[in-house]
Amino acid sequence: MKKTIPMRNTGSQFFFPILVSFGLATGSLAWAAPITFNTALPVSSGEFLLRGQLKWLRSSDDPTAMNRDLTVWAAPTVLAYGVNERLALFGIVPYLDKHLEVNTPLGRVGRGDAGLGDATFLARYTIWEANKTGATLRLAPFAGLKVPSGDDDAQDALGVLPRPLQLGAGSWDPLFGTIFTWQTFAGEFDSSISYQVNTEADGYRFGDQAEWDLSYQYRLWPGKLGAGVPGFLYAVLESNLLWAWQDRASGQNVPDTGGTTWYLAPGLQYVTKRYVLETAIQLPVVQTLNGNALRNDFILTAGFRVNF
Amino acid sequence: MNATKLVNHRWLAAVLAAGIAMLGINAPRASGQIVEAKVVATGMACPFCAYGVEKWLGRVHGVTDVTVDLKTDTANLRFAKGASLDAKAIHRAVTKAGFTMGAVTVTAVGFLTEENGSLVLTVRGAKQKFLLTSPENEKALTKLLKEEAAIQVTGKVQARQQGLARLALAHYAVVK
Repeated sequence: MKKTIPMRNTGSQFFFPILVSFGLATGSLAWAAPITFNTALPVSSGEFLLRGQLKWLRSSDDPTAMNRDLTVWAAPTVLAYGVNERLALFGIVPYLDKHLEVNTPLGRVGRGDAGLGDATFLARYTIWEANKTGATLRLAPFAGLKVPSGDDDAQDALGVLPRPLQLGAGSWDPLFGTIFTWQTFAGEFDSSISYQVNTEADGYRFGDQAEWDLSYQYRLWPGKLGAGVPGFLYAVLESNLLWAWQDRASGQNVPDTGGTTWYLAPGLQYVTKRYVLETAIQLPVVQTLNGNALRNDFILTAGFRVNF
Repeated sequence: MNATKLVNHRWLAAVLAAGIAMLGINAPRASGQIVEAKVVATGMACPFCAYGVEKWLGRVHGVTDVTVDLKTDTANLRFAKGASLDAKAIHRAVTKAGFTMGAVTVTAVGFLTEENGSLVLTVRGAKQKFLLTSPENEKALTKLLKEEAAIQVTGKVQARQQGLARLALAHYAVVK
């Protein structure tokens, strides 16, 4: 006999695995961002790096009668510090604004919340590097913890918000991975693999998440490298392959959660000595999601980085 | 009469001032100085990388200005008068910035001396000496040694020998 799962815990009427697997709820976007793998960039010893982004996520293609329409604005802020030439520490705090329009027996209603999401703290250690004129190769494992700083029991007029609409997961979730970078004057290639172990909070456990991100940046301008340190304009193409395991509640798999998504993200990036301006749009190429999980339309990102 | 005296005093003051100024101009040449150093920091491949290198090298004692040339992975260092070249501190700075130290090419003005049978560039202003290694120029340099001429040399800094930094001479010119 199947257990009845309270609506508060499942969020099964809403099904947004994308929110979880892509880290909008966790703030792990900084690692899996379709643009600016800032973890791959060298953060010099004693140097700070600040990254600010604004992300606009839309999911409106709902095949069900609920006609769900989800909009998420996310503004993750990343602060990195180089403890020494090999060890860098990262703190990531997202501001989230989630809003869902959905058909209910009471008519079409809007639900959502806004505020700080779960913060993530990471340490990256460069275990191998090879430098030569105009090129560098680096391999750096990282590990960290997502902490439940976001509200995970917000309510509206209809009651407690479903889990995926909450700003935080309520759980302490370790994550680990490795990033490989190959940078030359002409461009940059990055490959990042990460895994997040999601733990249980209040009887609910989001499915674990794995990500494999690839990024290639091609220098468009200047065509010929001159003297000094000119700004670089890069054309960017990135790939994000995301796996999310099914959520668990009260010992049961939560239907319509988990699945595989593959994004391709074209973008532009302007890089100077002190700051970076960037924009990209992630377009889902493959979305093999369980059940009636809401598919994502796109994620538009604009942001900056500055070091000091 | 008084007006003539005043004019004479003005001439005297101008001559004295010019003399003092000339002494000032000649002072670095007379005592010698580290003029600049080109430091190769391999691995710099984007503008964002250059910032750390500039920041850390700018903190090295005596360095007044740092400019990076990405194309050659080189940082050009300018030095304050009287500052010496601290190769170890430069190495530490490049490493802290996250890159690999390459060659350091220094340009310095000084006088040739002879120590233990070897040619040495003495940069009195910086209280620093470089052991010159330049077999092909040995004859010409020995001549300059006898003339006690001030010379400007450019060369790659090499491992220390006899307690002195060695300089593989690439170029030299007599300072007139």
